[in-house]
Amino acid sequence: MGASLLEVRDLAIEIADWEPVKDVSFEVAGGECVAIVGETGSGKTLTCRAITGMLRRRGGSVVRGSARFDGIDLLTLTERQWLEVRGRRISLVPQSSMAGLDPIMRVGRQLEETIRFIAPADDPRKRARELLDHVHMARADEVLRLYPHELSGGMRQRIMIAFALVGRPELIVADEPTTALDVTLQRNILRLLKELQAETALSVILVTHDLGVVEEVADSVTIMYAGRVVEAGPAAKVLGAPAHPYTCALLAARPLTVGPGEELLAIPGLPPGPADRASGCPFAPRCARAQARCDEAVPQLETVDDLPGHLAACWLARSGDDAA
Amino acid sequence: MSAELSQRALSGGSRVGLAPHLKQIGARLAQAAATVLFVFVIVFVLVRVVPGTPITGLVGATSTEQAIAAMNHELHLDDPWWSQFFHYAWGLLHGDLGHSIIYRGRPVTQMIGSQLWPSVALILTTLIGSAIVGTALGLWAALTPRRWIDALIRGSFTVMLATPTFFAGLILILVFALKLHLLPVGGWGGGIGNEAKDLVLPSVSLGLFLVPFIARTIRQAGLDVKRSDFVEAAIGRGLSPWQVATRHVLPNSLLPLVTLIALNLGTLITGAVIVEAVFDFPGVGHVLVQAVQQRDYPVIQGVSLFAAVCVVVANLIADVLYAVIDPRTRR
Amino acid sequence: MSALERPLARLRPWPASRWVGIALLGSVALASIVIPVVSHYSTDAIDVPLQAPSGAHPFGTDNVGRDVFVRTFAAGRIDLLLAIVVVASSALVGTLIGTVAGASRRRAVDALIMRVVDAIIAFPFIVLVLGLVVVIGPTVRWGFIPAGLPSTGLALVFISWAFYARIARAEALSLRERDYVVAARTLGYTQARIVTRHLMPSTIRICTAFAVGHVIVVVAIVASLAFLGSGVQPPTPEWGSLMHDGSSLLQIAWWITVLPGVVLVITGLGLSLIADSILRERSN
Repeated sequence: MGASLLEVRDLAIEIADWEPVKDVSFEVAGGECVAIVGETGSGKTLTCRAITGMLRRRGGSVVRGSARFDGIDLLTLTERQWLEVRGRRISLVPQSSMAGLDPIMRVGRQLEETIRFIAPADDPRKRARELLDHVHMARADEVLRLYPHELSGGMRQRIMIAFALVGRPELIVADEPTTALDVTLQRNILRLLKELQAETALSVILVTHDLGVVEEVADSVTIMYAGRVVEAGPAAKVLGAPAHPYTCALLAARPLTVGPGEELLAIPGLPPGPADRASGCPFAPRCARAQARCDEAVPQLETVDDLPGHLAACWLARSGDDAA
Repeated sequence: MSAELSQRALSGGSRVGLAPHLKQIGARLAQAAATVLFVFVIVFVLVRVVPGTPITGLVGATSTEQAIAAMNHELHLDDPWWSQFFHYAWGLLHGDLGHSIIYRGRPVTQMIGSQLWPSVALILTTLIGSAIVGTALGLWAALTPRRWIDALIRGSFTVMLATPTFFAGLILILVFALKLHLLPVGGWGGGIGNEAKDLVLPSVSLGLFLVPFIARTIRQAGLDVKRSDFVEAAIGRGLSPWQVATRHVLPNSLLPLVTLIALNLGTLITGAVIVEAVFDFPGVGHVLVQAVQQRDYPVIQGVSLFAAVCVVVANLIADVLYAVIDPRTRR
Repeated sequence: MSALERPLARLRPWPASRWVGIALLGSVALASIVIPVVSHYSTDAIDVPLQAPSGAHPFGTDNVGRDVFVRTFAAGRIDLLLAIVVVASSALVGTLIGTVAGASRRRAVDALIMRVVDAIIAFPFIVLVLGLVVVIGPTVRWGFIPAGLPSTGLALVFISWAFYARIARAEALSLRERDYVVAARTLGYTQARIVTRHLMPSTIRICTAFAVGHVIVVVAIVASLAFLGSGVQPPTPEWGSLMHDGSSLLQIAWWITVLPGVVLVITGLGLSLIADSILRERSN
């Protein structure tokens, strides 16, 4: 794993007088796969948009922090400068990319046009076919002649990844790429991402709310809750020995870990919304082990058990309690 | 992986799946044919429900009984109604719309045919002009962050809807022909250059109601497309705003235009009849208005039938065209 | 919408645009009622011809010296009254026919009515109106009703009902499988009762939204017909025929055409603002 390719520090995003993302930090090294995990509304999608320059389309703005990508300050790029970066160095596979294809244009034409606009090739059709082979699309020639509605969900998802690869980017930001697919297809798509990443020294940010997905492909994990990072570290450590009660709860809520006859543990309550302005740990109201001090102040991210790289933002983890 | 490549995708794709497509078109054709039949029945019945015969008021008090009877006989008006019906229908099937009473023996088809071109030119110019201006305005309103363009389009829509076509035409004549002497007051002819000039004011007055209609529809379609996931994805994969606008937003926003124009063709013909009267423009509308004043009922009958069939056919074409442009309807 | 929200929605203040619309339409209507009564001139009193607008004749005089101001608002009475009668009767007839068609369990009845409706709507509006006017007789007068009024009104009703029938049928079709209608049918209520008690209230409500917009079309068509010489006949003052009289004098006496036209546009603007605000309220 190389040096840090993307470094996000204390990122805070504001939308309509609300800060849905507060002080988020993480790093992506060259060739690394980082998973960002959280429930709906935890701010993970907004974070993705901020580092791909697409925050303004949703009316949001970055109020604090920095995001450096290979020496470029992403947060100060103009729309014009973004055109040099987006698709060429950082590609976004957006959320609900199931509907990410123009419905009235054949897949082949869309792919060829993207090739022409972003990374011109001598023979766009040949390059399009190569890209489909790259994402293991069977019968590529036939697929190129089809319209999006004639494709299955898994096929569309593979094509969306092929689109992201057109400009040979160094970083792909995949925002919940598998949510709409069934479990087997999810596995296939994730294996594909993993394989591409290994082959081409690509870095991947994988955004998901499914911890099962993470185990398989991620090198490191960042867990977000209510716009903050609550735990981060190497995947094996975070999933093997979680330090934050929220991570524990997420792990317990995974359907695959529950044996027959056992109860599937849902996390009680809902994440805080714009109206909640409590002063303490945002997870405290839902935390089974919350104590008095949890309501008083927000815990900062700190190293857990002196393990370098494994961080958690929890008063209990700090005092050395065994969270798992 | 081959399971992912679902059977439906390849077999129901664009090459093999023509049969259901044809069936759909067949059903649509049958519906259009039924409408045309009823159009014919309505025209036929209306002319014959008048007490007496259509020529009673026409021939005048000075005519003799024999003259009226002769005329009735000549026009087959003394036949039983079913005989008249088949006679007329038979003629229609052979492209015969009957003959004018006023211009003795002149076939209605010829009267329409000789004045069809100016009307077609007027309607086509209006359609093309309004489509271009309306689409440009609509897309501009959808893509710009400036709110006043929106307000302008909505405001002009309200005013245009409230302004009858003939008044708009008169105002245009007053300003651009009588005061500024830029364009002719009306009429038609004298070479292609003059005819082009003759078309400007009539087309503008006819297009005034259509442009805000198109602009409003395109604006809404543009807003929907702009917010859609595939435009989002296109930006995410690095296309520039201009590339996204021309390759994705524009083609997708144009889809509703086809239906909109077909639905408004009837209104457009209504407008053309009035505009032709205002600008003394020798088109089919002129034939109709004159026939109405002279109570030349075979001509009225023929022109109404012709106009209604044009609308039915236009709607049919629009439906088929829509299926061709939008692959999603070709299931 | 919960039972509690409904009355609240009704109490919500009307948007400003609707008040503007009501003010515009109201002032034209009020002027049409008052001005012909209080004016110094009658609609056919003759003064010096072709006078430009002045204090004595705010809209000037026409080619025979009649006061355009009085004639414009006397015309307003005719036009507005005719439009209201046409819209009300075609809405009533069309909604009834459409509801019956939609509620009918005999497919043939429904199909027949709808083919007739399709055929009527297929005609360019003015083409069929002109044909009907000839059939009815453009100069027919009924008692004190001036020539051209009956033919214009009847022709418009003959066509306009089809639009209401189409809207009402669609609504009736969507309602007929609703629980309360099915329940009424199961209870053995007659078709007539189901149509009048259970379906009509809904279809009428849907159709009234269309009716306001329809008034604009009718006012425009009434004026257009008279402009073409096939509507309300002279000497009865009517907006379209006033403007037609002036159109040949546009160069020397613009006021005869333009000023009645402005009043016509103000009327349309008022109606259009009201219709727009109702439609937007429905869609919210």
